[in-house]
Amino acid sequence: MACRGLAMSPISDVLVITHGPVGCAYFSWDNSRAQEVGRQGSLFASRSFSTAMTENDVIFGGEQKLALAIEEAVALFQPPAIAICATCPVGLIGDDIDKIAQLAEKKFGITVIPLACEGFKNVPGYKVADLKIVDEIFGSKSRAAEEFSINIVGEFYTGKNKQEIDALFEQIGYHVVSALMGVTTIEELRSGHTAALTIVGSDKAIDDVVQSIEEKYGIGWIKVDFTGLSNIIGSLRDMADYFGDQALKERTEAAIKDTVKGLMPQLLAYQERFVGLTAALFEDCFKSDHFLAMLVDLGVEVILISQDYARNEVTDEGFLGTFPRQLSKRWEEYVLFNELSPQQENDRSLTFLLSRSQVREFLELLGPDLCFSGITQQFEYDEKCIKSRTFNSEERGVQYAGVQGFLQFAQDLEMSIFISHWETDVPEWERDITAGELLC
Amino acid sequence: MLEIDKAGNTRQALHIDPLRMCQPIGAIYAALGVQACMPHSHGSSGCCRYHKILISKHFQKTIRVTSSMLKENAAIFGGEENLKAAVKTIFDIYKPQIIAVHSTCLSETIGDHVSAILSEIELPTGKYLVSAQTPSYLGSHLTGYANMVEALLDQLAVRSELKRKKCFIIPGLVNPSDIREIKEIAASFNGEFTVCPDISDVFDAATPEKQDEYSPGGTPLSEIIAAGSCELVLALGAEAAGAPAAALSEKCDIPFATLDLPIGIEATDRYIRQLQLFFGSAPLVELKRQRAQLVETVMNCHPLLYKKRAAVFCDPDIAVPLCEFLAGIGMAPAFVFTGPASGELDDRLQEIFRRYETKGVVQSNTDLFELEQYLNNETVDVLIGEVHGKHLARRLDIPFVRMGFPITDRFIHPYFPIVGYRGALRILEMLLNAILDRADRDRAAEELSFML
Repeated sequence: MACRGLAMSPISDVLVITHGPVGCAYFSWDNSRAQEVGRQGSLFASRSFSTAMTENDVIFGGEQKLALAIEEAVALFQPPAIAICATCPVGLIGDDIDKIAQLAEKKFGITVIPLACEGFKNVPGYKVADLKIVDEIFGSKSRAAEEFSINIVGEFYTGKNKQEIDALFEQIGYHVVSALMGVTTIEELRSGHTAALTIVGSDKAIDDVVQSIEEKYGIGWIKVDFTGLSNIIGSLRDMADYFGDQALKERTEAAIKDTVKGLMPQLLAYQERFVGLTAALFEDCFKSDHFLAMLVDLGVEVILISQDYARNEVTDEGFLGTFPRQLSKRWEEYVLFNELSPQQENDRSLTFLLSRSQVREFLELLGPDLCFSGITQQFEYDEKCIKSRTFNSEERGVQYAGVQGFLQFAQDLEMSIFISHWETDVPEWERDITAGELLC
Repeated sequence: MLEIDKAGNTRQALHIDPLRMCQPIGAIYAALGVQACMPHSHGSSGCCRYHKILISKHFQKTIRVTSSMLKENAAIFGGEENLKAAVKTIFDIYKPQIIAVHSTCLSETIGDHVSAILSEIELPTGKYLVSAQTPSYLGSHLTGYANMVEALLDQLAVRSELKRKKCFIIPGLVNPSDIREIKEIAASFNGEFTVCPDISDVFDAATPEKQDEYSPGGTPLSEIIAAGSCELVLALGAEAAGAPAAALSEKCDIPFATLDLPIGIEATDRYIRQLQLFFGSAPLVELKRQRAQLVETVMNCHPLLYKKRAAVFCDPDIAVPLCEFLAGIGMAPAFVFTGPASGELDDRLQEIFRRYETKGVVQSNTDLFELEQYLNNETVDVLIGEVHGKHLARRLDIPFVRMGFPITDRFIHPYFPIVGYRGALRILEMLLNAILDRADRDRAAEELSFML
């Protein structure tokens, strides 16, 4: 389902048929976030197509049903391309989706992409799809290579973000050839091999894919991050450096100057509002990176980054806590007293392996103004009267990437600080049942 | 092309815009209605993740579901090891009283015998394990809900010769506010009753913060174990509650009755009547007041709804009593489209149509696209159904009333009921608002009035 949702649905002219039970298609239905505003041909993404396998199909095989489903899809919607996403039962009963795809290609003269992205596969679905696209769709249409042409790999190139990035790139002079996991079309992907650079800004393990692009088509790649002002500026400079063209560099600096100039009044106002504010992050590593970058830009001090990835063998759970050196006065004593030794360290921060109770103690010790609680809410922030907030932008259909996203984040942060007191406030009638005067 | 073929549906294989989910999500929904219960998905991580997201988005609240995380090696060698390890870890970390395991396409297709694997596990004292078979390629989310409730009752309830005047109520898949309404009506008879599964104070309670903490709600295990001593089993909703009620009835030798979910005037009347006959008490003042208020409102507003045509795409358990209500207040349920349903659905609806002299197209085991094709030929005044009708409503420019599960793009709705007399009042309000908002929108400025 990650295959359909992440990788395939942003390709607006591909009709994706989920070959499997109806649930798989139902739950991967909503992909509107992947659509570009106002783009034609997004008809398919608002619908859900599947073969709705039944018990009979699982017993006797679903190949015929799939072939028929493709035929019906072509008759109803005339898509330029169809993708077939395999599901768990399909992989187990051994339906030959490659064969069905080949036959359908011949019969209807359209591109049919079979994707072996069964849910139990060790390889994630988006990678299956992206590798397939790089292997078979890239290079299927020749096109004169343009100067400063790039491929984009990353979920950030969708929705309003895409509009913003497109405008920025146009100003600098980049030409976007195609996108993986971002909004694109099958036609654009066919000439993906003509790009001169791949920029990668994904929260997913996608390095294999960009390496594969490099090996097959000789296209170099760099990592970018369009979340947070400093990151945006850094990424644009990295891109210009990659090409090394003086005029391009100048246009990049001009674009950065424009962006900063436009943003400055709001940024300064926010920075002033957030002076002295401290925060602790309990998000996954990708989100933490993004939030950290934006918080630094906004002048908020991040005093603890905690992630629960590390499973401590003794306690069966553990947290990696990262602390900045510049605030070492606040945590040094605790570390010495508990004889903690750092797991990792760099010139800016130290990382310790902590138990649940140690994280709790740190929380109490550091008393952050705001906790980014993550979606799992692992600690009892309320009991300690610490404000906490889930910053899940996708749930509200907003994005934090790009300049507009950065401002959105700043606004969300502001409202969290001023609204979340409801979480920790106790009404007077509950605090104190005796004292007080009757109004009369 | 996009209109329905006059000869009927010609699609054989392609399913477009489904009206049903798969069994595991229903199983999770039911399992969360048991106190201190951890639903466990024996399958690949994707299944559990998507079910969790959908339920979380409907209630705008985090829920917990665990998964066996089956990968390629499990697909080849079976998922036994994963399941055993998972059960141990769950009891260690999350400390539930019971784990309700459900199977998935993957585990069913590779042939994992879940109940046999679980029977080999040594349970800590006072802890329970229950398993239900819920392959997604059979039935719908309602089947999964029914299978999980049946598994809970079948594997936990103890047959008892000593009966007491107690009613065991099995509600279908509805919101916590609906369960509250069902309970409140039952409580007004001052008799003993149990509601299972009971998702009130689960999906509408604050999310527990600690790992091993559970919501205050849910049917207590002791009540499920003691189900055998009840004198009556009441199923509310044939698809989701009928089968478990029949199973409990057979296992513990208790008479059972299957009623509709108490949606609308008549279905609520029947529910109250059934309880009244069982508990043997007089009509209740508060219920009388609510009904009188509802009837008066219907009499006031029905001219605005008369002959208004509706397309309903809900779960069959909701669709039947809802259409009875709509027809009863003078509307025309012109299209009733549902996921898989027992053969009774058509008969029930046709009987309702005859009674209220209206007509409608009834299709079960169908998809939203087919409804769209019908609507392209002849439109309706209002769409009633779950959130996935959103695109349809936009494309055809029809007012849309959200009802049923899931509604993932709006807040607060799970806190207000659609069952009972109060729920009927709310349905009326939603319908009127949708239809009148549209009428106002379409009116010229000089025609706008502060009155109706």
